[in-house]
Amino acid sequence: MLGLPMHPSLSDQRFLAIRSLIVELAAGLDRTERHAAAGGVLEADPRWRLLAEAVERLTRPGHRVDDIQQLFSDAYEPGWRKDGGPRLAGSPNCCGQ
Amino acid sequence: MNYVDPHIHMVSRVTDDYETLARMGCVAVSEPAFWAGFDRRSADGFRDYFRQITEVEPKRAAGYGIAHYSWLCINAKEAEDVKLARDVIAAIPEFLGASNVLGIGEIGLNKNTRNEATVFLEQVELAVQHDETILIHTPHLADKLRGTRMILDMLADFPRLDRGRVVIDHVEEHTIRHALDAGYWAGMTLYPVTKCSPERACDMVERYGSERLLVNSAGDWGPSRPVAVPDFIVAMRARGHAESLIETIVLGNPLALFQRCRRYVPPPRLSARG
Ligand SMILES: [Zn+2]
Repeated sequence: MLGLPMHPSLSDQRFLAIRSLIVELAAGLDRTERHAAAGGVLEADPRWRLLAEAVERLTRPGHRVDDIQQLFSDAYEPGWRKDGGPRLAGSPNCCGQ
Repeated sequence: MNYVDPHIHMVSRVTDDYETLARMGCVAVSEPAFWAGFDRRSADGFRDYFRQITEVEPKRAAGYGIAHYSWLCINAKEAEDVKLARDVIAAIPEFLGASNVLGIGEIGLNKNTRNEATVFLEQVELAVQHDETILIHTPHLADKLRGTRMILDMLADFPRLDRGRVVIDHVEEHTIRHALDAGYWAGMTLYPVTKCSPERACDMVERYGSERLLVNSAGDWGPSRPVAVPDFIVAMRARGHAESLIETIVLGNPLALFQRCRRYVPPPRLSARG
């Protein structure tokens, strides 16, 4: 594993960078609400609920980025080829089949 | 620092970009065949494109002391038309003898459709038959995880495939481990909004090490930064990482991959170092 550069505490530079991202995020969410049509259209949008879930997960320590990337991903079906999905179309002997 | 951008679409960039890359220390670029922003209507359209990336771009790059390599294929987006895709696949061997060709790419999936998967498999087979290295595009955003897993499932059909000659590109935090654990190269694409940032690429280096890891810009006709690899170099330095580690990722690794192609000739600027 790599020898990581160690920082004894949260540096000012990193604090300001993350602070700026969080302020941008907060303003972006406020802006979306402010511009949204009345009648609960925004609340009914599954993408808005997805964003809300992602923001909630930011508060959980650990691998936040992995967790949030998973949240934003379509599910993988291990058996996706069972129902006649694509098979090798060409010569059966080329790849040690 | 000398570096290589192993995934950039120079056909979409102006000549000034070659000059900027040269000033930044770029010694070589590799250009996978991709979707040019519009659907081409015939295999002959692709023949002209293949001439552009095997004849025209190498000359344009050489004007700035940059070696230009390329990869040939029909991309996943246009592969939805299977008939056209098969005509293009039949034309690819005409160009495999070009001296700058590194292999077959960027094949892959876009929307994870059955047609895309069919054409992907046929192009992997083409690469295996011709003993070519492979560069693989993985889908964007919500499709990425599923598409990457589907690609790895399909590659498992080829037990004799040398995993050390295959790149799974555009990996992010949720897909990198799948590619590396299976023995493939993993490419991190530094691209605004839809892919990875320089800081997140540094994070992945810290978490997964430098082995079989590549960094590229995927600079193309969309909003993108052709100097994204230098951005990564600067971000790694700012964190205090060793120059030798950075150089391994941006120079040693891509050249080690390229060397797996039998036609590979080193970039002239490196040969001239003596
Ligand atoms: Zn690309």
